Amino acid sequence: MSYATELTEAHKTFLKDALGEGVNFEPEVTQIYSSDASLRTGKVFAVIWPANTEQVRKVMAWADAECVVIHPRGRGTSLSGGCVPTVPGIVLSTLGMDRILDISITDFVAEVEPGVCTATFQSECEKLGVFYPPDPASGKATSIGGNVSTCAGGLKAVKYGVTRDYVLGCDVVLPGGGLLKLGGRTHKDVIGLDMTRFMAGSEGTLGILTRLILKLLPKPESSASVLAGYPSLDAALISMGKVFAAGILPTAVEFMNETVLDILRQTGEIPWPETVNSLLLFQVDGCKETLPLEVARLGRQLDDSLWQTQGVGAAEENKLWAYRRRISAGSYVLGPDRIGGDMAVPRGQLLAAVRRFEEIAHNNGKRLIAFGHAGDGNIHANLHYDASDPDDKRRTEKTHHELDDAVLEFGGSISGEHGGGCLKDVGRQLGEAEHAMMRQIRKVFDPKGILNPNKGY
Amino acid sequence: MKRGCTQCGECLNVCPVYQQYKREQYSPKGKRILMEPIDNGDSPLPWERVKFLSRLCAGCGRCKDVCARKLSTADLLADVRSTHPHWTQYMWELWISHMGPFWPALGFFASLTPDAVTPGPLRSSLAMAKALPAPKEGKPWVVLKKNPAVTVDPTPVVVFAGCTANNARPLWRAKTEKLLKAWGYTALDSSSFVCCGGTLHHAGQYKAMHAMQEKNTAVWKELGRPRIAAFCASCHHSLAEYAEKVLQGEDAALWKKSLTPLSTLLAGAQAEITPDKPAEYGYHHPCHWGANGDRDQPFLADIVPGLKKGADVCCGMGGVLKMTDPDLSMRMADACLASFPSSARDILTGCSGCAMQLSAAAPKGTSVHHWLDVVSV
Ligand SMILES: Cc1cc2nc3c(=O)[nH]c(=O)nc-3n(C[C@H](O)[C@H](O)[C@H](O)COP(=O)(O)OP(=O)(O)OC[C@H]3O[C@@H](n4cnc5c(N)ncnc54)[C@H](O)[C@@H]3O)c2cc1C
Ligand code: SF4
Ligand code: SF4
Repeated sequence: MSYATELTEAHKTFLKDALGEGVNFEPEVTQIYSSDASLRTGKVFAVIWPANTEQVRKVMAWADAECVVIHPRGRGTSLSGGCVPTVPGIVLSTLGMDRILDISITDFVAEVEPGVCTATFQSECEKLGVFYPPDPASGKATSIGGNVSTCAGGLKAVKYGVTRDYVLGCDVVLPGGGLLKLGGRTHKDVIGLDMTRFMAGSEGTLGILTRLILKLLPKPESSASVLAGYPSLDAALISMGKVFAAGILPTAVEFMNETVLDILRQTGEIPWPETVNSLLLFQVDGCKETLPLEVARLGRQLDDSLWQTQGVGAAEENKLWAYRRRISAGSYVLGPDRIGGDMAVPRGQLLAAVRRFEEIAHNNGKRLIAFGHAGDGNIHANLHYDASDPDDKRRTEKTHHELDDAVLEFGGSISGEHGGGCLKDVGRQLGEAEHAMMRQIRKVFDPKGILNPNKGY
Repeated sequence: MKRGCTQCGECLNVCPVYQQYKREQYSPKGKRILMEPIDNGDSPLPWERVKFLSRLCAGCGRCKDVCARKLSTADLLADVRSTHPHWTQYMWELWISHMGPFWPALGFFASLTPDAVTPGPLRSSLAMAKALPAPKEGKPWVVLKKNPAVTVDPTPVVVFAGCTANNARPLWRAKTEKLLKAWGYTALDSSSFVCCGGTLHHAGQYKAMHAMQEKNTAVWKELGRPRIAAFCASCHHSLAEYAEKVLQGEDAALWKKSLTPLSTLLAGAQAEITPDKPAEYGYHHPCHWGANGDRDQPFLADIVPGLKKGADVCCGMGGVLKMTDPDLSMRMADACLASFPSSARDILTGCSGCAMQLSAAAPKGTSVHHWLDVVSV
């Protein structure tokens, strides 16, 4: 496909007429939208901030006719280069569409525009006693549109699932300007193909999401957390297995490997004894009356831990979660630069996978910082290095790629959260026929390939 | 090798400038994307091109608080400004370093200009100028007394009043000294201190800032390294940095220990409420206390019942922003005032800059004070 290689005066006039103040061509503005949290960069002709679906439709009809590439963007926190202009084009920012349209406490449904900040939306829900569970760690910085496009998941996925599980419907503007209104406000709907689910995780390759209909739950009355210490990750994961086998479904289960414990030891106060080399951090939620029973039940399954502490309610729990939050900043003791992995393996393979990843890192002279969502088998496999040392940089990148290969040996996914973007070679994971089918479907939505080319799949 | 912004986006929501525009180019992240390459000397765009967006910063420090890398965009801007001087920075230095004694007089002349003839963009500067002369002393809401059970540390204390109080609100310093005396502290002569230099740091006027820092630390040493009582969050914030950037070794540690918010020195105060106290009042949290460091709020909540918080929005004072974009600065103040419940029409704060800025912007029927204005001994 030959795309427009620059914007003509006629193009610029069209955009100004269609969007008024909602377009900018200045290099100091386009530079800011030329990258995302992957820190890759590309060339941006213009940034647009449509204010409503009609404006998006106008632009998409025009872009399709003129073969101008469009890179949709929420808040640019993609770690996989999902927003990076792989081909020079226009960045369509959803920040001009950031209204919460409805939060219904009778339907348990919300309708929002795509640019709404995730954490803002969640706190508005909580004020009304309802709960929108998907909780990416970056939630204060992300948009709901971006979360749906990447099917973001977080700590609570083990019990509450990921973003996909909360999208009941959406409005999608297609290249060419067509508008699809998918799904609706019912929690059940089996008529036709489930195209809403197609959109979740589609990484801006099928259309622009301009309105989301989201499922809500009653807000759990209370929660409690338990932090348990073990001599090794092996012992920790055996203990976790017992928790699930006993029929307990925690809200979150986080694991930390021996390297993480070493980092926590080096970077601040720790309450656990020296013999503790691995941690599990659980959260359970429920009503005030039954929560203590659930905590006690959990505690019994963790009887093989070396050390345990509990926190009930936000203030006490925060103290326990502070150790988990400390990992990210603390990891810099192992080097000032970071490459992160977010692979997922079947839950039962977690220990074997982490040990294998550690071995790969070790063989390259690196230490693997492994922690993450044990309940989902989702591993944050981070490597720290010094980018000004070419040998360290090379060994780190080599390790990172070898980890992607290894995850497939365990029947896993090279990305459990951040998506393929423009960084992952998804062909390594997808079967040939499946990959081809995905591309054919993409063509149905976007025949000229103007949306996020070279990204996703 | 400098490590810069990871573009994680955590700083967007907390930035009061971003909140005004809701576009990434107005965020701390956006500023860093433009200024880090300028600072490193490899920017594809010259400073002239990026300075308009880069300078829209109130220096509130909220971005640094939430940043995992603890990157201060205000400091980066100060560094870039120091190597790319602009006339507004000299004007600001002149205003802070040499014009102080004339502030009230300038304010008096400004007050003669009727609002109706003020062009919109000048509203901010004129409103600020009008706020400069000290208003008549109001009636106190609360009479404070020392709790006899509390023993007072005998180390002598010197008040750091800061340039706003010294030039425009001399009553604050006088009242502080009276309070300290009533508590039994030995208060030393504080008249040799100069401006803390914080606002000149923001302007990138490092030479003038260093001179002020040198002078203040010399005064402190001459006085025998006493405790320093600060009643302005911004002064406290910039004085706290002396321990890391100006002083070394034992002196740095002692300075850190000596610097004390006034409210901490008055801890355990007994309060007698007067009939002039409104049922409810607003409390504006000054950004420069940082997210968890505000000592005034618990102190006030204890002694003056009826405290209502706003939405914790920055007042927009931000030093040199008042000069580079007075209109934005005023819109930020308006947003801050609008975040208080309508029942709280009297607003207290613990920062000289916030108090001046918010009283300049306050609509009819709303008044803003430093809490020192409503306490008496
Ligand atoms: C520090 C950090 C922690 C993170 N933690 C997590 C985590 O715990 N879990 C997790 O899942 N992710 C995590 N991420 C990754 C990232 O935050 C998520 O992928 C998030 O969902 C992206 O949201 P966004 O609004 O920034 O979207 P963007 O990054 O702006 O966009 C993401 C993708 O969606 C497309 N897109 C955005 N909006 C639309 C729209 N309206 N219509 C069509 N396409 C659109 C873009 O083209 C892009 O491909 C983390 C990132 C960082 C930096
Ligand atoms: S210091 Fe305050 S105003 Fe300046 S960029 Fe940071 S958050 Fe925004
Ligand atoms: S919080 Fe820090 S690292 Fe993250 S975007 Fe802001 S300045 Fe950059």
